[in-house]
Amino acid sequence: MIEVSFSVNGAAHTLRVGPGERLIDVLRGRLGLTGTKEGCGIGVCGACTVLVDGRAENACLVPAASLEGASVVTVEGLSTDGLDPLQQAFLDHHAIQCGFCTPGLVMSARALLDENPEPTEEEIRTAIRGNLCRCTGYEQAIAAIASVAGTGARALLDEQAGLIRSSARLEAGVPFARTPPTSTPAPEGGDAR
Amino acid sequence: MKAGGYLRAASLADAASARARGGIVIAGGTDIMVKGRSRNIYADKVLVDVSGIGELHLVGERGGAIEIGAACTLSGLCADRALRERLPLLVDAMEHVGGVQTRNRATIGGNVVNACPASDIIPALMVLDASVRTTARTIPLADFFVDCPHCLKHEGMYVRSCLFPDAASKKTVLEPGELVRSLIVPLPRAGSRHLFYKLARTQNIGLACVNLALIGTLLGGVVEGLSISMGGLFPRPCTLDGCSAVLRGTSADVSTLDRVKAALAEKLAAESGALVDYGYKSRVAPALLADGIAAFMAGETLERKRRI
Ligand SMILES: Cc1cc2nc3c(=O)[nH]c(=O)nc-3n(C[C@@H](O)[C@@H](O)[C@H](O)COP(=O)(O)OP(=O)(O)OC[C@H]3O[C@@H](n4cnc5c(N)ncnc54)[C@H](O)[C@@H]3O)c2cc1C
Ligand code: FES
Ligand code: FES
Repeated sequence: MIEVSFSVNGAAHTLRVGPGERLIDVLRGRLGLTGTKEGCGIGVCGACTVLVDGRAENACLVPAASLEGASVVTVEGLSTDGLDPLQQAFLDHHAIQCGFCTPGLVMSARALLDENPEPTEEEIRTAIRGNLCRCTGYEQAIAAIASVAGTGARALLDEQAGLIRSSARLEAGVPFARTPPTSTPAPEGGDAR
Repeated sequence: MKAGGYLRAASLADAASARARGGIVIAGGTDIMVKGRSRNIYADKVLVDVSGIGELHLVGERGGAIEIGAACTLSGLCADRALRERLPLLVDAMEHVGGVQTRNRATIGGNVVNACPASDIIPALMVLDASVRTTARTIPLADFFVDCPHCLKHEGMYVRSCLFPDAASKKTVLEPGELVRSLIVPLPRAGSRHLFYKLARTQNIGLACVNLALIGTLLGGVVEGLSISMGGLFPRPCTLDGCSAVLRGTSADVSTLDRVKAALAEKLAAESGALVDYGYKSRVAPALLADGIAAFMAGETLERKRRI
């Protein structure tokens, strides 16, 4: 067993953890913080997303023993007083169906907004690309995040309501698309380094 | 997941001696934690955490090359302004890895040592002519890997990570007790243009089925030099020098591209017995390469146009 000290939602903990014990097991099993969900256990679904030192990470891939001195925030720690505006926005935009993905989506969105309060729609999509949702089709979640974000994303939201856009997308036969950052080679002879 | 021990290494020397005693290096753990959970292969191994070693986080420019510490996370590197400007191809490739959560933990050194044939980062480093600086020596990346035909049986579409507990000793020339310190990436020539493309089963966060990295220069509409690497196809990362030779001095017209496709098809045929999905990949890879070269010549990308 390895001794490790870190904080969870502001509370300091010193625990003896197993060498391969994962953060998600500590959160759910030892600290009773069952808001963080385990979907796949292999880093693919994002249901276990928490903030580690402010960054979104998959708690299923983080060895607890690596967390010496770290600060972890889970969905329970978003707000001490009612719901975080993001959580309220998820309710208001009907961005929750079964809800299993929701804590992870909310934490990914929180990490984004903390770092970039005025993301574009594309930045929102990039931020939640590691979060799978089997139910909603994502558009409501994107609308919810945009609604609490700054002006950049709001403008897009006003332009087209999320649901209208998603049905147009279905008609066009286009799935939820990854639009990776593009490389933009310079014209010939240009300096494209 | 079960492990036999966990050591937070304070220095490279500590880590190297723990590794020499049979420990398994863990940096971000995005490969190790997945393998350890699925197969319980680290139950009697000490995990040697190198993420706290300061030296492994340094990024600096020296003698026309950028040296990148092995434990730098992909997110950290992608956010580095100077790196975006100096090595845009490498940043482009790193941005194609997984989702935000993965990139926040995954390290560049871990990606190289894991040596997955479908890695997005290795082809970019290959065409950039990178070297691996270890605790003992500096090795050209092209000489760093060992053939692993097993990878081709399962990579890409099926399993996201290799089946071997110790990728370093199975798939690289690292000696016991030898760690990767940094990657040394020469700055591309002025006027170079590049292209990276990842073909994956979905547009979500999965591994590439086939990917393509190109960098080179044109002179008066003619290919002066072009370095090409494709992932997901070969038992060890390589540059496609035969294809480059066909292209040199041409304007990459249709008949030249046909010869390039034929050169790739021939090289690929050698893997026909080993490569999973050979039937699909042997058709798609030459087409992707030709499209990539055409886009490169036109100064375009292959990414789908953004559609709102
Ligand atoms: C959901 C998900 C999606 C992914 N998608 C992609 C993708 O699209 N493209 C892609 O290329 N990869 C992808 N990956 C894999 C990618 O995250 C890893 O290859 C990562 O870069 C490895 O870095 P790490 O620090 O997490 O490695 P670890 O898991 O810590 O280590 C990986 C290997 O490297 C060794 N190692 C690490 N550091 C050193 C060192 N300094 N010296 C010697 N040996 C060392 C370890 O012993 C181990 O064998 C994905 C992974 C996940 C979980
Ligand atoms: S449970 Fe961690 S990513 Fe799915
Ligand atoms: S609401 Fe059911 S998975 Fe997202």
